Order: sequence, then C-alpha cells, then structure tokens
Amino acid sequence: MTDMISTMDNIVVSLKAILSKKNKQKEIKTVEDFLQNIKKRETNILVCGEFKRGKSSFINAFLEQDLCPVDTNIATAAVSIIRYGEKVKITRQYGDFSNLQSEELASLDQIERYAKGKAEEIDNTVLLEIEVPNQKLKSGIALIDTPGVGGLDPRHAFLTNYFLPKADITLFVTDKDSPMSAAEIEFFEKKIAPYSRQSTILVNKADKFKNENEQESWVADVRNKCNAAKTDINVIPVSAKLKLDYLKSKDVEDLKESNFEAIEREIASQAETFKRKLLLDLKSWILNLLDEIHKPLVMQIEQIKLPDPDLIKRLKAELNTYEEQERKLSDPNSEYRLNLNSIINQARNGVELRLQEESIVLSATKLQELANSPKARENHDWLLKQVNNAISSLASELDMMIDAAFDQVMLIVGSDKDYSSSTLQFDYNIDVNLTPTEKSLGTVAHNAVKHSLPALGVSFLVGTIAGIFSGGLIPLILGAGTAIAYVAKSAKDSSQHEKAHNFISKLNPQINIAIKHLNSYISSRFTEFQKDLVAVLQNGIQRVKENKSSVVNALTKLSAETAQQQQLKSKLLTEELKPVENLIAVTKLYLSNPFEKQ
Amino acid sequence: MNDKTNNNMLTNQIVGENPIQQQAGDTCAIKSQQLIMQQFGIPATEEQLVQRALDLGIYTSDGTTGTSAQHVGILLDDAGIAINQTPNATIFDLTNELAQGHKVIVGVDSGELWARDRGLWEQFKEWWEDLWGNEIADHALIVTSIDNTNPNDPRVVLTDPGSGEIRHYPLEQFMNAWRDSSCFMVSTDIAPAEFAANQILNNRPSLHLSDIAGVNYDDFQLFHDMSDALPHMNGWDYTSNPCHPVHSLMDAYFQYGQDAIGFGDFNHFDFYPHLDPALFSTNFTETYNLGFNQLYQDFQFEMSGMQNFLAFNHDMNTMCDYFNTQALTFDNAGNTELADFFHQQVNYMDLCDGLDINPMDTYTLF
Repeated sequence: MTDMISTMDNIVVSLKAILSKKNKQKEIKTVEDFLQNIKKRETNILVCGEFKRGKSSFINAFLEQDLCPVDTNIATAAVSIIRYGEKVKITRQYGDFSNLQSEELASLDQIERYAKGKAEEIDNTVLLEIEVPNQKLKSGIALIDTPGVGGLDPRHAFLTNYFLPKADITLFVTDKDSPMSAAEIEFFEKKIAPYSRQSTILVNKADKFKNENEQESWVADVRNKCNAAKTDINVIPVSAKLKLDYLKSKDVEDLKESNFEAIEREIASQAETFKRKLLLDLKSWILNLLDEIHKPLVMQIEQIKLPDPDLIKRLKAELNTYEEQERKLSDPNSEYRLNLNSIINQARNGVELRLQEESIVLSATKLQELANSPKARENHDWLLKQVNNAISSLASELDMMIDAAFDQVMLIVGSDKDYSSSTLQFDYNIDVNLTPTEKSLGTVAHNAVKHSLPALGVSFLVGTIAGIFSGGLIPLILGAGTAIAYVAKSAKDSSQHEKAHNFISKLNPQINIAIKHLNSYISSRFTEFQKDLVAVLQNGIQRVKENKSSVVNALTKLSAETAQQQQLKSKLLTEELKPVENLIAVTKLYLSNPFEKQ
Repeated sequence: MNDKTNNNMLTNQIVGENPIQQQAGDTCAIKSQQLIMQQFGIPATEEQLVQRALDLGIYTSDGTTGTSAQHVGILLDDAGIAINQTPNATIFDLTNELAQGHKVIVGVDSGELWARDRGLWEQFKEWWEDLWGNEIADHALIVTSIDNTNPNDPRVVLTDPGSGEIRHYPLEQFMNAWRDSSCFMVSTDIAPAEFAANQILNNRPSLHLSDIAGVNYDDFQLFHDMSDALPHMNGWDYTSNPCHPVHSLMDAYFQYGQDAIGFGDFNHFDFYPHLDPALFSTNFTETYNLGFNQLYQDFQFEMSGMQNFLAFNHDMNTMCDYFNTQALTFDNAGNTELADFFHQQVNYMDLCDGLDINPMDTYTLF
C-alpha cells in the first residue's frame, strides 16, 4: 500500500505541475486534500456482535495488548475507538448525545472504570478514544469495540447501531458456544450487510471445535444462514484464547491454531481494498481533470493553422517570375533584349535600304520622265510639286515601316505607346526656279545652224541625186523642201531636250539634299525610339522590382507567421501535450490489473 | 529466459520473502515484468502473471524452459504498457531508454554475472564456454540505471529477480553477460510517474534527463546515432579485435563529457574507421521528435538570405554561423529546447566535417 500511495504522490506531483500552468489552483488544492485525506484516513474496523461473544478478547488478542477490559459478568457498555498514537492518550466522551462532554483520562487503567457496567456506573460514558503506540495499528487501522447488541440494556444496541455506519470494515463476532441465533442473523441481514462496505463473520472460540470437520461444517452453517443477506460471505474461525495463550507461551502451534494470521491477512487485505477504493476514486478524479485539460489542448494545437502552403508556393513562383523578368529586362545580353535589338536593327536596315532604292529611282527614272513631260515644260510648279510629292510619299512609306517596327517592339515590351502620331514629322520641300536662262540671238542662230546643217545637207543631197536621175527640177525642189522641213523639226527638238536637261540639272541636287534630310529624319526617329525604349524598360524593371518587393514582403510575413506558429505548436506539443498524455497513460495504468480475474 | 542457473541461486534463499525475487526457477522474465508493473502502480502478483503467461502459451512452468526472448515484454503489453523489443542493441540504445525513464529488461548469461561470486572454478567455466562459443543467455533482469559517477569505471545497476538483489556490475562484465543474448533489450514506451515527478521536482521540464555523464541529451543523441552506425556487438571477432568500436565510442563519449575533445576530434579513435557515415546520417534525421524540416520550412532559409550559399555552395562555416546565431536567438528568448537543438546542429556540422560527409545529405532543406 505504501508503494501505491507513493506512486499516487508522484502522479499528483506531475498533475500539480500541469494544473499550475493552467492556473487551476483550486483543483490542485482539492486533489492535494483528497490525497492527504486518503493518507490520513484511518480504516475503521468495527467489531460488533451479540453480548458475550468475546469481542473485547478478540481485540486484545489482535493488538497483543490488554486494552479492552474483559469480565465475563460485566458487559461492555461504551464504545472504544483504538488507534495508533506515539504516546498513550485516552479521551472520554460522556453525557447526553446532544451535548457530549469530554475529558482526558490519566492512564490505561482507567479504561475498565468507564467501559464496563451500567450507564450510571460508568458516568454515562459514550465513547473512549484510545491512542496507543501499538505496531498493529501503525498502518492506519482504527479498531472500534462496541457493546453487545443482544443484551437487556437498549443503550448498548443504540450505541452499536450509531457507530455501524462509521465502519469501513465490519467484523461480526459469533462464537462456538452458541450456534448463530435468529437475532444474530437478523442483525447481520438488516444492520451489517446492507450498509457495511466490507464485512467478515468471525467464529470465536474456535479452540472448542473438536476437529476440523466440525469447524468446517460450522463455518458452512454460518455461511448458509447468512447467504440470503450476502453471498460468498467470508467466515473465519478464530480463537482469541489461543492467541492470548501464545502471547504467554510463545508456542507457535497456539498461534497457528488461533488462526489470527488469517484474520490479520484478512484485515490487511480489506484495509488495502478500502484504501484502494479511495485511491481509485482519486484516480478517476485526476483522469477527469486531465481530460478537461487534454481536450482543449488538442483543439488548441489543431487550431494552430500554418499559412496556406499553396499560397506560399504561388508566391514563390511569382517571385521566380519577377526575378526572371528583372533579369531579362536589365541584362543587355538576355534573349529578350537581343530579340528587341534584332527587331529594331532589322527595321532600320529595311528602311535605309528602301530609302536608297527609292532615291535612285527618283533621281534617275522618275525625274527623267517628269522632266520630259510636256506638262513640265508648260508648268514648272507642277513639276516641282510632283517631285516633292514623290519625296513626301517616300517619307510616308518609310514612316509606316518605322512605325510598324516600333509598334512591334512596344507590343513586346508591353507598352501602349502609339508611334503613328510621333512628334517627329518629315517636312522638307524642294523649292527651285526651273525657268531656263535667256540666250543671245547669235547663240540661237549658231545652235540652229549647228543642229540643222546635217539634216539640211542630207535633204539637199537626196533632192539633187533624185533630180539628176529624173532629169527634172521637181526633185530638186522636193529635196530643198525636205531639207527646210527637217531643219525646222530639228530646231524644235533641240529646244525640248534643252528644257528637260535644265529641269534635271536643277532638280537632281535638290533631290539629293532631300534624301539626306530624309536619312537624317530616319536617324532621329530611331534615336527617339531608343530613348523611349530605355525609359519603357526602366519603367518595366522598376515595376518588376516593386512587384518582387511586395511578394518578398508577403513571403517574409508568412515566414515569420510560420515560424511563430511552428514554435507555438512545438512548445504546446513538447511542453504541454506530451506531459499531459504521458500522465494520462500512467494514471490509467495505476491500480489497473487485467490479470486479477485470471 | 530459461534459467539454467537460477535454481542454484534460489536454493540459498527463502522463496517469497524477498519482494524482488522470483518465486520459481524459470520466472525471471515474468518477475521482471511484474516488478516493472509495480512501478507503474499495477498490483499484479507473480502468480497472476504466471497464470496469464500459461494461458497465452508463452510459459510452460516446467521449471527449465522459462520465457523465450521474443515473448519477454508481452505481459507488459498485455497490461497496457507499450514496449519495444530491440535485438542487437548498444549501450547507447540502453542509456537512451534509461534517460527517458523507460524501464528496461535485458537478456543475459547469468553465469557471467554470478560467476565471480562463485569462485575461480565457475569463472573458468564461463570463460571456457565463451571460448567455445557455448555462451547462452539464460536470464532476464532489469537494468535499473547506469552509474557514470566515475567515468573510468562505469557501473550498470541491475535489479536481478534471480538473486533478489540490486547490484552494481562493472560495465565490461555486464556487456559480456548481455552480449550472450545478442544484446537483446525490451524497453517500455513510457516512464513511471516517479520519473516525471523527479524531473519536475528537479526543475527539468523535459521528459528526459538533460545531462548524461556530462553530455547534454541532444549531443548524447549524436553518439547514439553513431553507435547505431557501428558494427553489432554480436558476431564481432574479439580475438583479433579486442576493442569493439562501441567501446571505443564510449571512450570518446566520456572524453567529450569531460570537455577533453570536441566532435571533430574522433579520427584517432578505434570506432572511427568502422563508422558508416551513410547509416549514421540516416539515423540522425530520425532521432528527433522535432524534425529539422518540420521545425523550419525551407523558405525560412530562402528568406533569410541563406538560400544561395546553401543551395549552391553548402558553405558549412556559414551554416554553422547561422546555427550559432539561431541558438543565441533562442537562448535570449528563453527557449532552451530550440537553442539546444541549434547548438546540436553546430556539433553535427563539426562531426560531418571530421567524418568528411556532406551534412546536406541528411537535411532535405530544398
């Protein structure tokens, strides 16, 4: 039992540590008090029975000490409670039940004076509380000696009945001298069996049995008689006389035959069973307390939610995307940046090639056609307008090529900037005087002769040869006429050619200048675009950095939250839940014994 | 266990008078389990357990067969005390159980323990049996504790239901006796109430000892892991290699406990060439209740700027710096458990450095 108490002590130490953390001081006090009460709590063994069955002798034999006065003629009239004490102490309680007085007696010798006799002879003594340093009582046993219930004095029965409910274990004493009477059976059935927590029937004066058979049949008879009240009643034959003899003679046979070893074992066993019941009550209480702590603790731990792992995964993926974007935007050698450069370079090469081609076509073929046009000779402004239109048209075409390339790049970098309405515009017009310079009369005549002579000669020669062979003047006249016509025609052609040459010679340098302006314009457009692109990329990098920063902030927050929650969870698990679950497991094992029924 | 020698011991005792002594010659395992049940507050008697063992068919009561090794612990389990059976255990496994207050039953060759009391002839007989490989584990008893008060003479305290005594034995003598059962051990999963109460009364919040022979519990776990990665005691050729690697590890352990060496100084110990780093590192990750991955998720490191060097460089010095910083943080925060944990990571790094193994093989941080 000491081991059981000390194990419970250890359980309570662990429980207190757990309850303290939950500020359950009230519960701690309750459990401590409960355990203290169990420790202090005496096992009250009440000895009762009919008048003159040897109850006092039995107690003296059990205690191996003459405490209860034994007198065959005078009956026990007061109740004696005998418990362990370091020193002898006797307290007498007397008077009316409603107003009991008490006094301390000087010595054990005075017990007889107040325990036996009529009420008036013992000065109305109701109870003697006797403390003695007896080792048989040290385990916490208190023996209660009661007056016989079958005597003439009703006060005796009253006292016994009064103390019966206080018994944890009841020893009902019968003896070999008198077979169990109807009154005894009735007392056992009505007063002991229904209320006593545990009870045993003793058959005293067992030394008077002639043999074992007689003893066995007697025990069986007692058991049968009480069977209606309680089945499997424990009936133990015992001899107080032999035990007392043994104390004098030290003859172990007397001890053996007294059967007091059996009764001591029975009392020890019943006392242990009684304490165990109390400890089991405490165990149930502790398990309830632990359950009240365990359930919320488990819920508390379950409710610790870690941040959504999918969210963390998504944010991490976003972070990777932003880091990749930052790299491709800021690294000039990134595939992305190289692709943009390639598109721009291709566009520029295309535009420049187109300009080169068109400038050649304009300077050569188109200008020639325009210069020789009769309309050009008639209207110089018309010619100038045509040339300027051709240049403007080329500029527009090149603008469109540039815009298309720029829009493609801006689409890639995600900018919605519109280059069709660029602030840069090609605005250059050729303005030149196409009227030919005035010539002198001699120069005109000289030019006419110079241009007419070959035709004139040929015409004349043809007419002369025709006249010789035909022998007439008519061919000669025809030849001269043809020559004159030819001269006239030749003079006209020469004038037109000269005009066209004049146009070309004046317009060609202007066209070259215009093409150079156009070239310069194209460069400006690409320069402007490069500036725009750098700005757009920088904006993009800044935007990506801002996005990245917000994702990093979110992840940092989640990280801190995770660490905090993990720490809280770990703390709850290791410092709170584990000790509680360990104690529950240990407490459940306490005083369990699945092998008992085996 | 089949107590071949118990009958001799029991004849000199008054059976039943000694509360820790077995009542029959072949109930050592049953009595050992009953004594453990008592510590858990289970008031089962030896008779009840014998009856239960007979019912289960794990005991025959013929006086010689006893309980076979695989059946030791079944009654504890039957009583509701979860147990583990460990063959080929090491002294570190045993210490680990004791450090958590768990109750331990081991199989031994009783002759190895009792021969010294019986004179030279018995000692000679035991030596002769060992020499011819006839050593047999014939007895079960409880290892109560290991007394490391004198590091040069560690003693194992045994509660022996055969002799009915609680006695101290030199570690070497115990190991000789234990080895004959292939170092078989049965341990409980929980500790009796007394252990937890003592921890509380000694201001130790954990359900394990904080210090074992001068080594803190977490560092002890590193030695424990190493012991599992060493060859078994059973089958070791003691003739050609008298010093078993586990004994050498014990030497290192005591020196470490006395601050004579650090975790990186194991090269000159005999155990070192026998250590299987892969096995060791595998064991390492499984030792802790607080798994590293569980405790600190991978992005912790990413966010703290550790990602680059851990992912690409595995810079152990920087990792050590990080762990030291973490340990200091938790120290300052009063979280000794996590602080110890990080201190231990530093020791583990040191150890990996000495063993030339990659600590990242065991951490799956990424």
